[in-house]
Amino acid sequence: MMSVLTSQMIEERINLNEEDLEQKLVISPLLEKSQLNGVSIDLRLGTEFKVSIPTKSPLIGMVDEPIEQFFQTTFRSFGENFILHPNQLVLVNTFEYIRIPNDLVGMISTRSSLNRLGLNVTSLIHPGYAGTLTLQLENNGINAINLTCGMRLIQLILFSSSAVPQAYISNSVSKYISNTSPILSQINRDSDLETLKKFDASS
Amino acid sequence: MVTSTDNFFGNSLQVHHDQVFALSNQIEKLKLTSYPSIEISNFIKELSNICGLLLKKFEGISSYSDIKLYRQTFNDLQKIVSYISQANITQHPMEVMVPAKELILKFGDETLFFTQPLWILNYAIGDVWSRFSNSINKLFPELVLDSKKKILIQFPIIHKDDVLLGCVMGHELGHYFDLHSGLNMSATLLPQLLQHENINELKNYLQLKITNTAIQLDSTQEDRLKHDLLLKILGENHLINWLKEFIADIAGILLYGPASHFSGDSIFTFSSLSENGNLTDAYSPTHPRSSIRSIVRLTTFNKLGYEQNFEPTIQDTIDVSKQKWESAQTYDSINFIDGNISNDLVYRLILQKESYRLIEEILLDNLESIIDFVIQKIPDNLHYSSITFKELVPKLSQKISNFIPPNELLNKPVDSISILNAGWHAYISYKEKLSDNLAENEQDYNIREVINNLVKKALMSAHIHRRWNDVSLNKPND
Repeated sequence: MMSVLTSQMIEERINLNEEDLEQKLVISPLLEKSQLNGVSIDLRLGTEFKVSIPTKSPLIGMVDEPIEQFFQTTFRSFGENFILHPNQLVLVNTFEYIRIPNDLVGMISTRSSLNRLGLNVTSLIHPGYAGTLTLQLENNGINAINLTCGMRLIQLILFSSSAVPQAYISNSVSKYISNTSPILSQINRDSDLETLKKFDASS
Repeated sequence: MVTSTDNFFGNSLQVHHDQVFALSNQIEKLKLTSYPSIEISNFIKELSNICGLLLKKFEGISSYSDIKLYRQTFNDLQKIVSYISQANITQHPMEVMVPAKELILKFGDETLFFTQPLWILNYAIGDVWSRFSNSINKLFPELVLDSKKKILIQFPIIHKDDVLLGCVMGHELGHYFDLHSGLNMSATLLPQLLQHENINELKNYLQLKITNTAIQLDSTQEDRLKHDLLLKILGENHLINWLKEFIADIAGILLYGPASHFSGDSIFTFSSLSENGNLTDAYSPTHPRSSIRSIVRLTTFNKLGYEQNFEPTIQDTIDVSKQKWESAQTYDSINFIDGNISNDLVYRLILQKESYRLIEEILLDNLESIIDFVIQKIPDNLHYSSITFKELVPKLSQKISNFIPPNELLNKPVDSISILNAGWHAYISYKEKLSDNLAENEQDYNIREVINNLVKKALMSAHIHRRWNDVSLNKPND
């Protein structure tokens, strides 16, 4: 049965020695202990952004063109502002690097105070994941939102689960290995697509 | 009445005005780009101001000599603009520069560094501003220029994201401390080297020809002249150039630890490998043979107490490097340095195997004292110690082997140089372990890239973590 880890349990997992890597939760660096909060841990906005831009290509998604061409990379310093415009899609990573043991599952969601500004991020973090988290920011409001790199942006909630036999990092469906930059969609690498291509639309 | 000459002058002025205007437009475009620091943006504004003043000058110049004078300023300005045009944030090796900037700051220098990527395998560091700003101050006394040093670092663009190879920056910082920080190490050491007994032997390779028949030299006078000429030639060419490289190599190890050795060795090996698997070596006017530089680095390791602190895998890698350079084959070549003294005398220094050996010997005989001098001149707080290496690096490297960035130990940020060394340590010790942890279909995912990414992340995280702690400690009490 899955149960939510309290901040005390999260702290215990973080404080495990490197020898207990199977159980150890890595969230690094944790600039303030106060990021541990009730049943979650706050994660900060990173400094590398991939901003969606219009291109000559009419489509994005299941297309042959490299997805990189639809995004422009830009950087900010820690403490510097980033303006997120309405309806703009921006990928950014968390400042913290996460390594989740095989017996935990993570859920992230935007801090409620940012939700109320029109920002909404949710995602599932697989057991065994190692890397910074790529967040897809989208401003659902009608006003631009001013964000500061390094601010607490999302909260990570962890659930205990049965241990997954193979870590995400060595999982054959893994598409995002130890990433430290925002990673663009790898949707074109889905193995199902090869099978789907063999389907004759008329039959 | 306007003469044809007047027309030509007006036309010449217009041509120059147009060029400056075109450059001014390009500088304005550069203002729109993002840079790694606000200081670079400010520097571009400064260049823009200079260009603006130059433009005004070309509206009111009255002589050809003035046109020539300001054209030279234009050319110099354009050169600096060309450097800065590639210093934007997307081309800047951000993580490679973190340790370098930290060390300069610790030294107490206020220096603006900007980088220029090159499509050749070459690093270089140089002051591009002092001489130009002096001439600008004379031309435009009304302009108050920022007094900060402006240092250009050129680096191979293919190394932008390879922070392990970027550890060559330790060597480049060695040049910085020698030549641009006021320590003047090579200039101070040169007179000592020029007292070496090999100077006498080198006289055999210096030929003189007196072209002024009125001059006759006896053997004592000729010997004295040869001696003085050798001091001048060696002090301006091979000996001083090679000494600068010795100092930079020593400083590289002193500042960056073994990471400096591994990065340098990788680059030398890349450019020296022959078809039969041996390394080839060559004499160059600017750099000592790579096999000699290997001796410099290993002697520095010894002097700094590293040899007792390396684990077997690391020591093996260093030993392999040592052996391959010991058996490197050097191309024999004959070169000449020719010169003259007025119209009275011409001279030629013959550089061949034996004379090169004599010059190398001057440096190698002084190696211990050169190392001592560099250690003594570069402030202690910038030294990376073999004890820190032994205490921190294996633990940090272990983190990398588990796909964790090596930015902290016991929740405390570690120093940038230990992080870089951990990257090399992991690359040497844990390649297979990292590879085993990846699924078969991901083996093409380069382990080197994984390590570089983890090291880059660690450099930025630890840097921010340290600053966070500093800022938090200095918070005013509420």
